[in-house]
Amino acid sequence: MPREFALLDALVPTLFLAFLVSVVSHTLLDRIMGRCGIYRHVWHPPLFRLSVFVCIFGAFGLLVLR
Amino acid sequence: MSVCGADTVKSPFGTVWRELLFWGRTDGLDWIFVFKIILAAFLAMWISMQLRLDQPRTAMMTAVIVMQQQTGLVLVKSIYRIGATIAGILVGLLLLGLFAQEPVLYVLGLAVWVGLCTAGSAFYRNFRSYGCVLAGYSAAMMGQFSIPEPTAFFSIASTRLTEITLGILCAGVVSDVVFPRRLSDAITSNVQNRYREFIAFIRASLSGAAGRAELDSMRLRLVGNVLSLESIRSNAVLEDPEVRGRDLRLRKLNSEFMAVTTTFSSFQHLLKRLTKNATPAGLALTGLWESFGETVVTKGEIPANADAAHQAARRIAAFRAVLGRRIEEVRKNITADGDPQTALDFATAVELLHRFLRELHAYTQTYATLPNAENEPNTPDDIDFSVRTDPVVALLSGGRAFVGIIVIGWFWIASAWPYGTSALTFVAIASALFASAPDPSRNTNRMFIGHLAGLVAAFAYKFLVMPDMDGFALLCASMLPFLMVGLYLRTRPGLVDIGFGYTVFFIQMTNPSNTMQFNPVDFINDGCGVLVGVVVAGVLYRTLIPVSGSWLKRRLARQIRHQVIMACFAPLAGLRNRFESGTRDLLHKQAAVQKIADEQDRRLLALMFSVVEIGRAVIHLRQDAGSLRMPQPLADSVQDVLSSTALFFRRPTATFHDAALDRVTSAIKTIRLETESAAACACPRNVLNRMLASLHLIRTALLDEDVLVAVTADSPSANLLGVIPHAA
Repeated sequence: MPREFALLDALVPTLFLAFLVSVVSHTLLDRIMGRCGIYRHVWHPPLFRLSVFVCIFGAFGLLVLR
Repeated sequence: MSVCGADTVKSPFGTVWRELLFWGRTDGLDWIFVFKIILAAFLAMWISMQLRLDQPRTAMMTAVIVMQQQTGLVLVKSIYRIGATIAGILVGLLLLGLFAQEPVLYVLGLAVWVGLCTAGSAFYRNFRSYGCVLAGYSAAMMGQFSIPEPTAFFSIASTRLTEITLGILCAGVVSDVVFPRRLSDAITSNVQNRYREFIAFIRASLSGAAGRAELDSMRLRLVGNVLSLESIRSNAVLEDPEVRGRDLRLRKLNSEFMAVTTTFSSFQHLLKRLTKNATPAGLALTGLWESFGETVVTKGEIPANADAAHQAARRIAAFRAVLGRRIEEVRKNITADGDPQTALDFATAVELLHRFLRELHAYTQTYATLPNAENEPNTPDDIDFSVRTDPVVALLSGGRAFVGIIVIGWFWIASAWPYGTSALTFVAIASALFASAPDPSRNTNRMFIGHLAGLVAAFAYKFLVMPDMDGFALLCASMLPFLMVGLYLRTRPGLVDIGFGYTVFFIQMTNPSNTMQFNPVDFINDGCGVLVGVVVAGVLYRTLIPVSGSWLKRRLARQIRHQVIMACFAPLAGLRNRFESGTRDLLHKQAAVQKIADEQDRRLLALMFSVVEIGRAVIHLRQDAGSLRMPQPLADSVQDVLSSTALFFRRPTATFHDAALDRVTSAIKTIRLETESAAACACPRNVLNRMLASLHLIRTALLDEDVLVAVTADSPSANLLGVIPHAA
C-alpha cells in the first residue's frame, strides 16, 4: 500500500487512515467487552484497553506499511 | 526483650505509617496529579521533538491545560478543545485570507469573532463555554503567528492542529493509565458530602445555634452542590458506561434533593413566623419538630454509605408512622380555642411536615440504592435540569471583549508595535476566559501575577540554565522543579489562576524545541506584549459594566422574580423540576464564589428562597386544582390568585401586593365555604386541604416582611414596608 495519499491535494499518511480504522474497531470491541463484563476480571482496565488499542493499531500499521 | 520495648519500637512506625496514609489521601493525591501532568507534558514534548514539529510547546501547553483530576473531564475537555481549535483556525484562515493586507479590517473582523465567542462562553456552561473561549482565541493566535508571514498560514495551522491533538492524546493516555481517578468516585463523594451537609444544615437550623450568615452560606453551598453534581453527571457520561446506567437515578436524586430543600425551607420559614409571636400552633410544632430531630437526625452518625442510608430511611419511615398519632394529640389542644387562623397555620405546617418527611424518605432511599448497578424500571417524568442564562449579560461580555480587541488593535496599528499581536492574543484570551466567572477582575489580577512570575522564571531558566543542558533527559530534569512549583499552585483552590498562568506562560516563553533560539530582547518584548494584553482585559473588566455592579444585580433580581410568573402560567408537565433547577441556576451564576459580599447579595439569596417557596406553592396549587372538577366560583378564584400573584411579581408595587393578598384571602374563604357547607362538591377533602395549605403558604409568604423586602428592594417602586401594618 502507498505510504501517503492525496486528500484534496494535501498529502495524508496512510497510517492516519489506519489509526481511524483502529479507533472505530477498538470502540466496537470495547463496547462488546464492557457488555460481557470482561473488565471486571482485569487488573488495570485502562491499561488493558490501551494495550488492546496498541495491538489493533500495530496490526493495521504493519498491514499498511509492510 | 520486653513487651514494652516492642511496643515502643512498633508505635513510632505505626504513627509514621498513619501519617503517611493521611498524607497520601490528601496532599499525596495532589502531588500524583502534579506528576501526571508533568509526565504528559514531557511525553508530548518528546514525541513532537521526535516528529520534528515546529513548536513542541503547543503540545506541552495543551497537555497541561487539558489535564484534569478525573479522566472523564479530560476526555470531554479534549473533544471541545479539538472542535473549537478547528473552528478558530478556520475563522483565522478566513480573516487572514480576506484581510492579510488590511490590518484595520483584520482587527475589526477578529474583534467581532472574539466578541461573539465571548458572548457564547458567557451564555453556556462548563466545557461548552470553554469551547467558545477557545474558538475565539485560536483565531487570534493564528493571527499572532501568521501575520509576520501570511503565506505560511496553512503549514502553521496544520502543525498547530497536530500538536494540539498530540498533547490531548498524551494527556488522555496518562490520565487514564497512571493512577486513574474516576468521575464516578467524584459523584459518590459529592452525593455523600451533600447528604452530610444537608443533615448538618437541618441540625444547625434546628438547634438555633448557627447565625443567619452561617445558615445563608450553608444554603448557598447546597445550591452549589446541586449544580456541581449536574455538571459532573453530564461529563461522566462520556467516561464510564456504569455512570450511564445510573444517569437516570442521579438526575432523580438531584431533583428530589431540590424538592426536599425547598420544602424544608418553607417549613422553616413558616415555623419562624409562627414562633415569632408564640402562637399555640408554633409551640406545638416546635415540639413535634424537635421530636423528629431526636429520632432521625441526632441519633447516631450521619449515613455515609448505602447501608446506613437504608437504616436512616427506615427510621424516617418509622417516624412518619407515629407522626399521625402525635399530630392528632396536639391538634386537640390547638383546635380547642377555636381560632380558625391558628387551625389553618397548624394544618399548613402539618402538611409541609408530612411532605418534607415523604420527600426526605424518597431522597434517602434513592441515595441508598445509588450504588446498585441495575437500572430503575419506572422512569419518572421530565427531570431534566434546566439552565437559565441572561442573554443580555452574555452579549455585554461579548461587547467588552470586542472593545478590548479594538483598543489593543488600534494601539498596535497606530504605533506599528511589532509585538502588538501578542497583546492582541492575550487580551482575547483573558477577556474570553473569565467572561462567565463571578469575579473576573480578580481572576485577571491573578493571571497577571502568574504570568509575571512565569516570565521571570522562564527568563532565568532559558538564559541561565538551559544553555548548559545537554540532551533530552537533562532538559526534562532541569525543567521539572520550575513546572512543579506552578502545577502545585494549580492544585490549591485559591491559587489556581496564578499556577495556571505561571505554568502556561513558563512553557510558552521557554519554548523548548529542536533548534533553540536565544534572544533576550525579543523575549522581554514579547513578554511585555502579553502582560499589556492581560492588563487591558483586567481594566476593561473593572470599568466596563463590572459584574459586581448593581445594574446586573437588579437585572438578576428581575429574572428571579420572573420565575414565579413562569410557575403561574407555564405548562405543568415537568414544571416543578424546571422551575427549581432554573431558579437555582440563576442564583448560582451570580454566587458561584459561595460567599455573600454585601447586603444586596443577601437580599438576592432571600429573594431566591422566597421565590422558590411561593413558586412551589403555586405549582402545587395548580397541580391540585388541575386534578379536580371544581365548581365554577372556586376555579375562578384560583385563577385570580394565579394572575394577581404573577402581576405582583412582575411589578412589585403596593397596589398589586394588596390585590394579590386580597385574592388569596378570598380564595381561602371560598375553599373554606366549600369544605364546610353541607352541600359540598364531590371534591375529595384531602385535595381541598392541600390546596388550602398551598394558599395559606402563599399568603403567609406575601405577608412576610423579609419576603417583601427581598421582592421589592430592587424594584423601581418605593419600599413596601409601610404597607405591612394594615395588610397584616
